Amino acid sequence: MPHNPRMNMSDPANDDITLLLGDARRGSALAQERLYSFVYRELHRLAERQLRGDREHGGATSLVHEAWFKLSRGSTEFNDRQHFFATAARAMRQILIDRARERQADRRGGGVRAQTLDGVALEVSASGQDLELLALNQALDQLAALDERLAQVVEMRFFGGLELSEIAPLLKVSERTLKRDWRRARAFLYQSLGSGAPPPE
Amino acid sequence: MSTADPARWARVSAEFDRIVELEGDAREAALALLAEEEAALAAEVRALIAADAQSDGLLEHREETLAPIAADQRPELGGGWRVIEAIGRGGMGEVWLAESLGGGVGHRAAVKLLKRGMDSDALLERFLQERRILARLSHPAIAGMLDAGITPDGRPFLAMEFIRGEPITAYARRAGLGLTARIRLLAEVADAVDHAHRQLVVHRDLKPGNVLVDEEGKPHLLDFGIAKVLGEDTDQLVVTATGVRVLSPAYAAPEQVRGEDVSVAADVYGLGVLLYELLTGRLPHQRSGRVERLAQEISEERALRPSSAVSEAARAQAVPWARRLAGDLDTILLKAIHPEAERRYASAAALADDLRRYLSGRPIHARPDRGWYRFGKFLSRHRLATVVTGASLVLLLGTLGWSLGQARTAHSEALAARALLRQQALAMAQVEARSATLARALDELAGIDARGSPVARARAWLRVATALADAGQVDSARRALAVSREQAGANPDPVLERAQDQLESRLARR
Repeated sequence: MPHNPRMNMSDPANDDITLLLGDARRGSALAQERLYSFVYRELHRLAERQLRGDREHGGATSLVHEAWFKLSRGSTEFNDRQHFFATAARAMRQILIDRARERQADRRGGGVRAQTLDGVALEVSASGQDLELLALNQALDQLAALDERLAQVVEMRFFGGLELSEIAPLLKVSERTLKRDWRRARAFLYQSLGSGAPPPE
Repeated sequence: MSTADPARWARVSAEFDRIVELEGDAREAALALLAEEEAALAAEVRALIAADAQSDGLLEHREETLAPIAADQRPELGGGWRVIEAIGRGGMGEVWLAESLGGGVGHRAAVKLLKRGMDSDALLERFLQERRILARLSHPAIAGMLDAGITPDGRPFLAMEFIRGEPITAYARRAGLGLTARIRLLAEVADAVDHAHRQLVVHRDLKPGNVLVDEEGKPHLLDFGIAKVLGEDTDQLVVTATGVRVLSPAYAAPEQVRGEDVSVAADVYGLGVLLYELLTGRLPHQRSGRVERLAQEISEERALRPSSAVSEAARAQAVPWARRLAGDLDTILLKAIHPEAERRYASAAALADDLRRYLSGRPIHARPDRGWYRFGKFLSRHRLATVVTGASLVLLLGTLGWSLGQARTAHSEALAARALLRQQALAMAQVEARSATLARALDELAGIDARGSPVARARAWLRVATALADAGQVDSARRALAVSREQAGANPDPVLERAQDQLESRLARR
């Protein structure tokens, strides 16, 4: 892992998390930084436990929710929750991408394309999946260069599991605008990922 | 979008947001208008809209995509197979890469097995059906069955030849295949499909993901999961547990979408769509991917000639062989993807044969739809046939104008203009070869009946005017443009107006 789970930054005490969230939300870069590494570490720990089979397998969203449940200690401040999820979305993206990179590096030969499943099932391949995830990550960076907000929307929704209705107040735009944003971002990403009918150049 | 240009993206975004809300003809019309204004922008918007139509991609499977953060829970296969790693998983099944314990080093297979809890009778039956089908087939370009068995925990599995490769379209792009190489490759796929047909097996799900090309450039047909044995009544199996018919919207033949009996013609269609995509970089039809709307969509769709599909400005550079599509390749492709099954190639072999004839410069067998046939289709599409039985072409076109005339009161000058246009259209219709665009524009015009908005009619007339201008009929084009302006009169649409102005200045230069 490129990020050591035992980072040299001290754990904020559990009752500090609300303060930290508040500071981060009010724009303190240091608080945001600390919050990020804290959330990253927490999610990472949960993911590791999953990998060792210590806990029921549950997917990324459930991890984010579990981390929030654990860290929030009953904070009911709506803005805190939103801010936490936005941060967690970023951390989760990082974790998943790191893991996909590692697995790709492990795979000798590399670059194996998916052999598809049939009409019985959706076609998602584990090795192909990593490649897809990495491609998505790259496309998301491209999108961010064009339109930061769209990329954020995707990050929060896809990696963080937030609903559009939860993202709207966070980005201070209407849900309607966000729906259009999501549709446009989705089209952009699918186009970048070369699905549909790519040009044969 | 190749370069990060936020200003340009903002323009693309605005047009995308506007046009993606439109449907069917209105969407096409808006794209066509935009293309006249700024072809490159329109091409970008079109590509985005095509991507928007994808209904089943990575972003739709969030949980599944992000789930494998957990370790693979490798199943015990028994039967001399050991699982190496997961290849894919989905709603009901899993595919694992496995190696044979007895078969020597490197003896690998893609093992497909049903998920636990998914062993309903219908699914089991389908699994067994696939096994029976695979057992019939033996062809170098068909991924064959190596073994079949039951896992220790009671799940049936199929071990199939493991193909390392990539989807045919991606392969062609990455390997930079030229026109002839692409055609040759598809002819090989058609051979494999023909082999299956001769064993009475219809694949029914031909699409890039099911045709992988290996490192040596050899195609492999996979996945007979929803294939059917001709003459057997197995169609109820093509319904998933949730009751949705399994098909790949972009590649399914119209009769499949309608749920009708499927024959080898459906695979000919699938091969046609694959080739169309290989040669033009786009699909012949823009389908929304929403199953509930497909039936309506296919009843209205007409495929653009491949040569026209690539001539849209931005594509022209990307498809170096654009000019070679007109003629025989247009004819072959449109025959392969003909909406009526009985007008397609009678077999995959016949398609392969025509492709090879084309490659070797011999005359092909396919003939384009003749003018009278197209006209007949035009009649039946618009339900005018009964009205005009026995009537002349002139009367038909008169009817067309009449329905439009009914829609709005127009002053006599405009009426005269239309009368002239009708004559013009007739003359053009007789010059079949050159009138394809005009015929399409007229089709569209007829499609927008009295209920269409003035703006929609104005757009349709503008297309007629443009088609006339393209055909060198300057005077008629002017008159059609006048009608377009007249129709738009009360509700000027700025985009439309710009396009009208553009055509006008183009006509003025003549």
